[in-house]
Amino acid sequence: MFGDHRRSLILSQTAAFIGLIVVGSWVSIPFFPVPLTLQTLFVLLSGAVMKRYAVIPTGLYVLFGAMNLPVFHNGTAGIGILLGPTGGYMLGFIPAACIAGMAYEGSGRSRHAAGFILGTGTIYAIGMAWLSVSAGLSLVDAFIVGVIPFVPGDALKAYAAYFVAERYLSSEQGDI
Amino acid sequence: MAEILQYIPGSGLFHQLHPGTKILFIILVSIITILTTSIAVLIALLLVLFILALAGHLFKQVIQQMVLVVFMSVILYLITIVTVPEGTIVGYLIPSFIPAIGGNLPITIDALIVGTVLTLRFAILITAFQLFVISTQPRDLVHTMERAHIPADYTLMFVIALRFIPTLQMEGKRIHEAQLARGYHPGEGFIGRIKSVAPVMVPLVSNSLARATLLGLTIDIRGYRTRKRTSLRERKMGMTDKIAIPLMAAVAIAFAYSFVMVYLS
Repeated sequence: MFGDHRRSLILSQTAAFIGLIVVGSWVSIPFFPVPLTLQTLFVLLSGAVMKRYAVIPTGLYVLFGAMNLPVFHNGTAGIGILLGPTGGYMLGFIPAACIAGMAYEGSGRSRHAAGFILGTGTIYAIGMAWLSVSAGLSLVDAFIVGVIPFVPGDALKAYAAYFVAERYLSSEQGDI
Repeated sequence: MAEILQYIPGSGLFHQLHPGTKILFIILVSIITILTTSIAVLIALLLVLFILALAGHLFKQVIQQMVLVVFMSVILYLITIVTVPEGTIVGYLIPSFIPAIGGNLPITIDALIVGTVLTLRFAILITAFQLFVISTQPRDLVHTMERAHIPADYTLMFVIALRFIPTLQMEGKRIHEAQLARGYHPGEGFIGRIKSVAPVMVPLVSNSLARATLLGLTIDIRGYRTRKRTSLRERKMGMTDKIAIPLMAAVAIAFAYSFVMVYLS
């Protein structure tokens, strides 16, 4: 190719995934016990498609939110949200995408599935730690409030991400 | 929510400032807000922001944003009341005349103080960023990012992502309608909404990635990164900036001095 094709591909895929994460965070699906947003689905998918470069879209997503673009859940934005009780989940997206990406650099179904589970776990760990610090809860309380209600929805999303990723990667005949 | 950067044309104080100056302003306000815990300082800062908004003819937009702040403050107060149970009790969240559950969840003065500080912080940050966003054109923001030596790749990603968001939103709607037209009936209510996700998500992801691949090829073929880029319009620092930057430096020094003094004593 003429210039650095890999680089321009990363560039445009980054833009696409930021768009997808933003659109996913605006859609809220009623679910038990808390409503689902599709943010983590696309965060995990970005890892599957962009491998370890997935830190770029997730990092920029958080940065955009900090710059007050209405990209967080339900169109909220700003440093206030990032420093608020739920900010840790947003920060957790960055390592989660990286972990999912590193899992997808290798092959094997169990490796891919493990990457998604570990990625989701990272989001929980950072979100829970930040929740307990910012709201002054004990870690056990933060676990009850900030992790358990989300487990059924996130299990569903991780499964959906795995399903979509396998379908996408098997239909794509390698890089161009 | 198709408009993501809600720029409002105008010629007030904030429109005249260089974007770089405005970013400095936001950083200064954020640092003061996060470090201080004094309610008086926070209220003063919020009033200053309101006066600046009035001077910049942006008061109406800032007040509109306050609805969100009021809504968030209720949540912040509830969280602090539940999580700070120690201190002097002034009342109960559940009135004591209600049988069985009455008299639970005490409201303490400490909780109210923490809640007020959190609410004021939230209001100040929201207002400062709102002032920045509605008075800055995306074009100027991109130029400022370039001048700050942020790599061209990142500014380009920023612009493309901004462009992609409304497109993807439209695409999601279109795919949903297309699936409905093919006789796809997700069902009503709770389970239906969940079931309707997969047939929309798979085409949405693969379409947007196909679009991204095409865009990547286009960028490459048009010779991105092969020669030096120049821009048509540049925003120069004006008189207002030259006054505003020393003023902010003075405030920063004064705040740092008082903060260190309080910390040492």
